[in-house]
Amino acid sequence: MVSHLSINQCIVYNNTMKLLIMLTAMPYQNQACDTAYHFACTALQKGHEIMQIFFYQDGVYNASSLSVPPQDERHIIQRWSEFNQQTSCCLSLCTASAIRRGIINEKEAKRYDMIGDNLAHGFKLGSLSQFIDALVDADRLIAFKN
Amino acid sequence: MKAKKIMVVSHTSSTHLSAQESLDMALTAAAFDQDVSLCFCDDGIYQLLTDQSLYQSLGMKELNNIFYALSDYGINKVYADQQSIAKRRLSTNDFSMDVHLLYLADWKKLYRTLDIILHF
Repeated sequence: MVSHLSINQCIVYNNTMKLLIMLTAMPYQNQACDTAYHFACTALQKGHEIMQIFFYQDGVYNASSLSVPPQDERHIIQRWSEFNQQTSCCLSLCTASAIRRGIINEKEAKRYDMIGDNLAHGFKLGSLSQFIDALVDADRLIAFKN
Repeated sequence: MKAKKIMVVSHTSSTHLSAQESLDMALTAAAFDQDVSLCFCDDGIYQLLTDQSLYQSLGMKELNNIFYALSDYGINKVYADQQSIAKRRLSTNDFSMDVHLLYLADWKKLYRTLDIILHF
């Protein structure tokens, strides 16, 4: 649940920035994914624009719909999906990193003749080129890693 | 739009996938006409070794071939951390390409000139 995030209640400052967030850390291993999530929520609340959240390297595991944490723990993947639903913020994965690590969407599953796909709702397979394209235009890149 | 000065800093040896993925990032940024430089420190120094037989035996991609193509992408500034080299008892003679040595005092100066620093 993104309970504390309300876009309508955003305080918009004049000096807002176009932010690009990159996440290269696996979920649950450490605090990086939580910090990235809370940073993204707060940045939007403060009126900043998030151009996209780019999941690279082991960060692509944040998009695995096959992840099932214990019920009394936070569900990091579901939390990102809800974040996308509530904010329409683009959650983009590097396709090469994702496919190598077994994170695959329906289209790629068909292409590689896989039995199923596991890209969680709200994520999309993008590319390094799209990331660099956004990077050129961004005011700040904020990277979260292990 | 003015090109951004981007430095990709690689901290892992070639046996780590991160080494290849950091290079992918650097090459893509260079293909977008950004001013890209590479820096190797910590175990990242091992990527520079001429002898890449270990990676062949592991079935991994050799990075040397990509290093040779860096200038074709417009990446001409390659740095290596002097302290990391010394700690591993290596020298620039062991490397497959020429690098600019970075001493501790140089880091601060260099960082001030950059727009974006990406650590892998």
